[in-house]
Amino acid sequence: MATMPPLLVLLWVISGIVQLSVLFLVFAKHHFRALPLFTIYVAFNLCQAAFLLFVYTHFGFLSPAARQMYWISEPLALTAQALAATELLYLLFRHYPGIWALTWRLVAAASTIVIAYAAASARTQPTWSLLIANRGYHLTFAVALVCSLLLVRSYAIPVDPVYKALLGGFCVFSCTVVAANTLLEVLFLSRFPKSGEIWNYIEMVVFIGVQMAWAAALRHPVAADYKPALFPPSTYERMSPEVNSRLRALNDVLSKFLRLQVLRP
Amino acid sequence: MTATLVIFFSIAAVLLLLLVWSLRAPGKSSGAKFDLASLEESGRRHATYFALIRQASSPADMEFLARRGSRQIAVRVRRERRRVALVYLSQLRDDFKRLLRLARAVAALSPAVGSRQELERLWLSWQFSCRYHLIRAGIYNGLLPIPQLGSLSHVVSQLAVQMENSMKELGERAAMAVRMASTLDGNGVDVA
Repeated sequence: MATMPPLLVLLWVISGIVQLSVLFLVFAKHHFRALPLFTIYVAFNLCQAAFLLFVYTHFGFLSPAARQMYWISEPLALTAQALAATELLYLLFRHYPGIWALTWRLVAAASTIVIAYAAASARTQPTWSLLIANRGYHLTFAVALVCSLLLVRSYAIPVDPVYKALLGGFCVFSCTVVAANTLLEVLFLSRFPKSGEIWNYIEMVVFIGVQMAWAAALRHPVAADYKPALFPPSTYERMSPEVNSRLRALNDVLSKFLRLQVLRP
Repeated sequence: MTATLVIFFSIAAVLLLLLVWSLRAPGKSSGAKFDLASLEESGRRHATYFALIRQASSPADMEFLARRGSRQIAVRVRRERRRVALVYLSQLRDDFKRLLRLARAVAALSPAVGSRQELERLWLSWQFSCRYHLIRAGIYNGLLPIPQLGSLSHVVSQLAVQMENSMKELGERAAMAVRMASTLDGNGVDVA
């Protein structure tokens, strides 16, 4: 820990306290029943912090061994994050099977594009491949989350404020990682002093902010589950094409409106 | 390198903006239940007022005013006509939005939805929005003349009748489906 800057140590301590508060609230307010994977994610984050503390104490903060250990533990944390977010999305969509299926298709399509791009750019810069892969993961994660939330808004699916805070926190943190990783690459290549520290500070400060927002949200219980009554499958099959044809007709009115105006001398 | 920074910072910023927009409560829709009251609305569609709008924008009136009335009155009438055209446009948009709400409510409460239908609706919404804003901006700024609505009369009056009937029918059908599903499920849906 001797090589770790004092400000970063302070941020680590604060982060540890806030994460413990989140874990405490998850259990105290019985959120763990509805959110088992999220509970595992929070607990895993704390375990990862403890593991890295041990590694930094024994090998030094800037040692190659510490870096290697960090990157070994990171995929596990990212997997836990993806599972926790999927669990939250499932809770939002579980009573809306049609929209849930649509969301999966959209998320799969968006993720494929982003992953393909991330893989291609990681291959072109082998020295930065881990950082680029990490950025690619967070970019995919954020894009998938935003796509899902856009569908939630579009179809007016009710979302409890607790879930909103949790999903928002995940997305804010992932966007920060995307920006921070890019900044680190640029600063390092332009030989900017202490670029690694800046990267650490940005990620830690945002991570603490997200954890604090989560702690504030998790103080409240999740509202009672609302299960809407579904239509029979034939309703959509009959009504959707009809509504679309009406929408097309209204569109045609505007189109003719516009064409007449443009053609007028 | 700077380009990479700009690109990724922009992507992150756009994603954050979309996140804020998607999480912002859109009026009452963030409430715990669907508002299905609009499915049963059977009020007149705005497209049915087309005949009145056509009458209000008759070019003969303008010619008469230009000949006999003062310049001031002609200007005022032109301004009023513009206002009427804009109001009519926005009412058409309301009709469009009501149909969209209906379609989305039906999709949300269906066990399976078709990607093609949903994508088509997205495309139609985008098209409608572009055209609406283009026409509105044109009329508002006086860049486009108030259209000869008479030429559209046939199309719109036909559509108006269809809209009036189909909206009513669709709304009734959706409401009936809600009631049937509620009975089968034993779970009430708020249609208030």
